[in-house]
Amino acid sequence: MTACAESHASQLQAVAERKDKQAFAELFAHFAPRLKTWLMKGGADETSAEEVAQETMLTVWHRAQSYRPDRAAVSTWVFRIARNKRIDRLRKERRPMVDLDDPAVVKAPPEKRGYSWDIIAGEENRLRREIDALPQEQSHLLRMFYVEDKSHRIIAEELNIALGTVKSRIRLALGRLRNAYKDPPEASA
Amino acid sequence: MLTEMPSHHPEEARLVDYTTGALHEPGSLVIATHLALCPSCRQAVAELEAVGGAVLDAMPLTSVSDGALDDILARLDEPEPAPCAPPLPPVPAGDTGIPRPLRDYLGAGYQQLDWTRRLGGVEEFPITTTVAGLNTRLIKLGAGRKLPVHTHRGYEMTLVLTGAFSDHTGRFECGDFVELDGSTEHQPVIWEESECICLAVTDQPLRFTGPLGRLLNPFLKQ
Repeated sequence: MTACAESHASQLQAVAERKDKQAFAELFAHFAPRLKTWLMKGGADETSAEEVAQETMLTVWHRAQSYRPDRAAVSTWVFRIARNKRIDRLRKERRPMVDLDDPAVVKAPPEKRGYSWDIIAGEENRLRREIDALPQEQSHLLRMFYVEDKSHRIIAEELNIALGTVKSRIRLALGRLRNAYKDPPEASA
Repeated sequence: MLTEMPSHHPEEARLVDYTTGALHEPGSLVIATHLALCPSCRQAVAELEAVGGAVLDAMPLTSVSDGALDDILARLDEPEPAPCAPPLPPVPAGDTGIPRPLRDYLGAGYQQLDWTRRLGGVEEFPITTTVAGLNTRLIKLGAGRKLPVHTHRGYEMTLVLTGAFSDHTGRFECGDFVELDGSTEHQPVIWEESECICLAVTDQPLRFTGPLGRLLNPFLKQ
């Protein structure tokens, strides 16, 4: 693992196990300024961006025990919390989510089980590099989707390009990422 | 326990809109319930969420206000703040076999719900969400029943929960996802073995187009 991602996982573990406020302060120092940018680029004013970033970090503190390092990277887990907070605080909507521990969840047969892109040991920054390596029109559009909280239809209208073009650019981008990760790692985390 | 995997899935654009949070609550309820029944789409969403994590981690920094860290450290011992959206009532204990998140919205098993009879042997159970203007409901159709030919004025997302139906495009069983728009005309036929329950989100009423269906249209405007 890279030092940075490894330290986030161990900081989160320290929060979960010992309510370690120093470890939490380090997570806050990394994520809060990024969350604030993400929220402001998504259309929030500075005050509400800071509030939602704070609320996200509070949830990180309270839910640290539910983090599973074998399911997602810390940044992915924080992204999910932040996305849900943004929906709750700014849109006042609920966010229906699948519960992986629900006995009614249908499990994949072992031979079909995949692995998540962000938990491959030693490759935490690879996904960032793969996104950067996409053609600029694809990487730009992909980031826009994650930052701006807008559907395909709205983004197509705003960019004044056909919905089909937006869909196919995203499909191409994701296809390239999938292709980069098509061979399972030797030993997944 | 169901072991069959669904064979009809949401298009990738829908999974992206679900992952980024752009999709509204009723649509997200349908997608998340499909995810509970579909390991391959769950895998796809895990990959899409990993992209979200990478995008967040690559964000430039905007400094937070001077007292932000002290403020949050002072709040850590308080209880977690309640959500802004109204919470769903707690679901009584006991396994209904209905996957979350749908189970949280229903609060009871299919048999205990207060179904409303509609024309043509169709029963409905309305589901309340925070989003106005979209009709979210369970639909129950009797075994062997043939629905009148109809189109959809807006779009409709449907997820099969129990039983199965067929139309000219294929067979739809537990976990299968169908999305239709106004251009699709179809006539679903419910399989003989059992009744069929679906979760459906529509933004416009159905429009029947067959000879019998045209007679029904005025009655559907409620």
